[in-house]
Amino acid sequence: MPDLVTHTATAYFLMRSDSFQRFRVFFYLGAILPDILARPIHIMFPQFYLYTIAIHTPLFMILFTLLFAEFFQTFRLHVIKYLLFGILSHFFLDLFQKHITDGYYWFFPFSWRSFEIGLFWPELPVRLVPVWILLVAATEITLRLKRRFTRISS
Amino acid sequence: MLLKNSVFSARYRGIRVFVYLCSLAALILYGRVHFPYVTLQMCLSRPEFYDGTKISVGNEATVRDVYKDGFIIEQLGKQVRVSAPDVHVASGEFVYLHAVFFKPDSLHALKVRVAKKRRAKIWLSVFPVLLIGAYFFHRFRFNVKTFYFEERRSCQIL
Ligand SMILES: [Zn+2]
Repeated sequence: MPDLVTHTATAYFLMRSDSFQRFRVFFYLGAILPDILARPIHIMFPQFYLYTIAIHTPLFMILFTLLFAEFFQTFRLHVIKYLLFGILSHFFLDLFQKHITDGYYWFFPFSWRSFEIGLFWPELPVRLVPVWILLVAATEITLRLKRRFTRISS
Repeated sequence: MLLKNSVFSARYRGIRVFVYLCSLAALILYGRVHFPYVTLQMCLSRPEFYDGTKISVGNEATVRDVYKDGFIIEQLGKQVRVSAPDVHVASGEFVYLHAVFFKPDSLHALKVRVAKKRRAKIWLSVFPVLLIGAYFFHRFRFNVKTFYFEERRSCQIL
C-alpha cells in the first residue's frame, strides 16, 4: 500500500469539484478503507496476519460496502457508488507497487494469483507526502481566493 | 422495481446484514485455512518437513542483530539466522525476504528488501484516518435508536 496520505490526496483531487460535495466523504472513506480494515490488525497483531488476507481484496470490499450501506436509510445507492469508486482508486494505486513477497490477491477466493504492475516499492510515495500536502493546500487556497474574488466582484 | 422495493426494503434489513456479516466471516476464514504458501512460522513448527523449501518472509519481520555474513530476524517472537553476504541492513529495520529455509531454524536469503520508511509510512497514515473520520462525523451522526447514520441538519447539502 502507498501511505494513506497519498491515497487521500488522490481522492481529494478526484473529488474536488463542487458537484461531488454531498457524497465525496464516502469516496474519501473508500480510498482508505482497504488499509484501515486490514492493516491495523496486521501491524498490531501479526499473529493474525493470515486472517487479514481476505480483507484487502475486491470481493471483501464489495460485501463490506453493501453492509456499510445498510446503515443509511436514504441515498443508499450513492453511498455504494461513491464508496466503491473510492475503493477502486485505492486498488488502482496499489496495483502499481512491487513486492518481493506476494502482491495482492485480486481474484480471491477464486484464485491465489497475485498481479501488480511493479513501478515502485510501497514505501517510496512517503517521500512525496510533503509535495501532496503542499499541492492540496495550494489548491484549497487558490479555490477559496477565487471564490472570494468572484463574490466581491459580483 | 417491485423486486427492488421488497428485497431491499427495511423489512429484510436484518437478514441482509446477517448475510453480509456471515459472508465476510466466511471469506476471512477461507483466507486463513486455504492460504497456499509456506510461511516461516510453518517451517519453524515442522523444520524436518520444510527443510530446503523456498519461502517468502514478510509480516513484520525485523532485524535484531547484524553479522558480517548475515543477520538475525525476529518474527512473531521467534528469531531466525539469515545468511546474506553483501547485504546491508541495520538493527530494527523491517525486512522482506525471498529465502530457502534450512532446519532447524535458518534461512539463506535469495533476495532481501529493506523497508526503510515503513515506520514513517505507518505513522503518517494515521492523520488521514483521523481527518476523514472527523469529516465523516461532522457530516453524519449515528442514531442509536434506528441504527442509521443521518446527515446532520447543519451540513445538509441538497
Ligand atoms: Zn492497500
